[in-house]
Amino acid sequence: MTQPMVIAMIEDDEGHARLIEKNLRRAGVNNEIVPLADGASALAFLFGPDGSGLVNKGRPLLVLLDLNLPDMSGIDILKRIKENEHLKVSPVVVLTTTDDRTEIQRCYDLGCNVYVTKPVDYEKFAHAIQQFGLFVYVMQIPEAT
Amino acid sequence: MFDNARKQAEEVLLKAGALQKAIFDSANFSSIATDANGVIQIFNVGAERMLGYAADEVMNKITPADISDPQEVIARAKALSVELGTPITPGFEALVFKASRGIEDIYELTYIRKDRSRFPAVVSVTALRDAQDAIIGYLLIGTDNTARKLAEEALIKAGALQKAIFDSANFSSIATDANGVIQIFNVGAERMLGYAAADVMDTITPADISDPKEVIARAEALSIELGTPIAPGFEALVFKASRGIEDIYELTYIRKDGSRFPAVVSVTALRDAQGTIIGYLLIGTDNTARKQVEAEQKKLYQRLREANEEIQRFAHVVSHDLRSPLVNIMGFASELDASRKEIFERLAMLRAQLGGDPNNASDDALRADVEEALSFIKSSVGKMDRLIAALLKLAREGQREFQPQFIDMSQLFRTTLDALAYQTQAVHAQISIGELPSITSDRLALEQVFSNLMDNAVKYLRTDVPGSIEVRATETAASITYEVHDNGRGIDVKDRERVFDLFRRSGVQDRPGDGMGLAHARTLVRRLGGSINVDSGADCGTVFSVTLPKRWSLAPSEMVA
Repeated sequence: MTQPMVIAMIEDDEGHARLIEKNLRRAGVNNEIVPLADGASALAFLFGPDGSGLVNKGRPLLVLLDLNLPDMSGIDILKRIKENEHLKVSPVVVLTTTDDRTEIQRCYDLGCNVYVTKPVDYEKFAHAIQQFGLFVYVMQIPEAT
Repeated sequence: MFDNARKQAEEVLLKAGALQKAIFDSANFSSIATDANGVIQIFNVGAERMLGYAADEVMNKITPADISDPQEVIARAKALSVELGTPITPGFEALVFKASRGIEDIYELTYIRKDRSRFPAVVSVTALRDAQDAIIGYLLIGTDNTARKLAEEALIKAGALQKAIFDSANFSSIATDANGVIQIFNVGAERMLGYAAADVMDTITPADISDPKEVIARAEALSIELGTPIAPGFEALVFKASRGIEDIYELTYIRKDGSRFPAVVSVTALRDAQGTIIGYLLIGTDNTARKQVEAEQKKLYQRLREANEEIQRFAHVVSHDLRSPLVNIMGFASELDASRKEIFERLAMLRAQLGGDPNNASDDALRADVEEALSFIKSSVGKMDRLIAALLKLAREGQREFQPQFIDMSQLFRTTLDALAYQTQAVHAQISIGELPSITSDRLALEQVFSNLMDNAVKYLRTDVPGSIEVRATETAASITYEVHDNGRGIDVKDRERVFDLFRRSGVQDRPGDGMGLAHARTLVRRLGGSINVDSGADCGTVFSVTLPKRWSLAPSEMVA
């Protein structure tokens, strides 16, 4: 039996996490959202206690990733996900305030699937997240292998 | 007796060792040995070459006085008679008298060749003595002084400045003969290199006091450049000059004590009346101070680079860390706004359920207050976001590397104008762009600067008179000033400096703008080594002038690889 998709939301700003979750729910996303407020807890969740990523085998996983975390760079997490044999198929959506061209390029180079900049204008922000939520709703997510 | 003197002379020479033997055998020195009366006993190959006589023609026949300028011999006899207070005969005695008294004697004299031609010689005289210390003859070693004489003449001809340089202790002036053997070594050379002139004259070439590795490298580079093999030695130092090519190069000189210093050397070939090269003049200056300045500049540039990187990191942090809370403030204010609507709807509903009037006046006042507060929060956050974006843009611009290139400025202004076509048509402005001098600078930066100035000129035209904008330029040897004149509303005197400040604007705030344009323009112009100024009267428009160097080049450390 296929497990339901889980959204791992790696976001250090509690407020942002709330706003993202609110708008995903408004778009009808009912899946479990796991809030991860720093790099260490994100790595623990994604790769498990043995660090192999086996812990998420067979689970469809979608990763929402903020790049600026207190204890490490989101880029490093992205890199580890895309290099991991179990997690590399899981889509990673970078959702961050940085709109630096080189940063965006780097993320796509490392295999990020979508890069979204958080707009300060809340109407746009809410719209972007809700659109994304609708997209998630129809999206087929592979299970971690 | 004659044989005895010759033998003795040879023995003395043998005793004197290898160096003197080498001199004696050398074709570059005339070595003439005489008996005590001056009759020539030995006449070496150098003497034969220089004087044109075969040894047989002079040996046992004449004295060195017979091949010297007679007038000079007479003059020397007179001078010595006075100097030493004893009558000296104008003949061979005048040539050896000092040596016969045990006084070291080196003098200049004109020798006369067999063909009667003459040449200046420097002659060193030594008395030859037997075991009892009795004088049995003299050894006269002479060198052809022509090259040195000509070098001196050439220097005098070259005029006062060169003469001054030559006499100066701040320039090392080294003249050589055609083979590179040093003939003149001035006070500056002595001071810089630590050798006495006597140490090096007739002994070594300038290649011997230069860094050997650099000489080899230079020979290799020149061989390739000129397509002909050049020996790694003196030839490498003067080859260009010998081909009539102006040559100034950097080289490391090595002092007598082995210490080194960077020099800039300028080489000139010295030629005789027929244009034949008879020597070279190498004028060097100590480049240590300049090298230090360059090193200092390199360090400063490095620091500047680090500061720029710092700004870039700062921009990055600002873009995230300042924006993050704004997303929350804006987000939750909007959420609150949504809740507000619901709250007042429910309030109205409750009042209706309780049988009251749902349109309660105090409820309306409260709603207006909350609405007002939320709208201020939202508009302020929006403004702050724009300010952060502006700061970021400025920081990124300050970080971009400039690429100097040749720019047709008339073309640049026309392109700028095309981009403003819509605005200019709307205000019916007359715009004239004169013939503008081209410049070597960064194209993108100049496009941004001048499109900002043109945009401002169009934006602030008056509505009551026909608009007119004119672009002109003036130039000096090193810089060009581009001026944008308009007959718009002008800038009040008190605002002239303020308009270049970030987020500051002048006059009635009735046109769109973020107060960034001129701040940005000034940052760019300054980075390009120029300046920007504004001039205008309250009612007769504005003149913005931008002065830029004609050729902008990269920072010093990028010039010297």
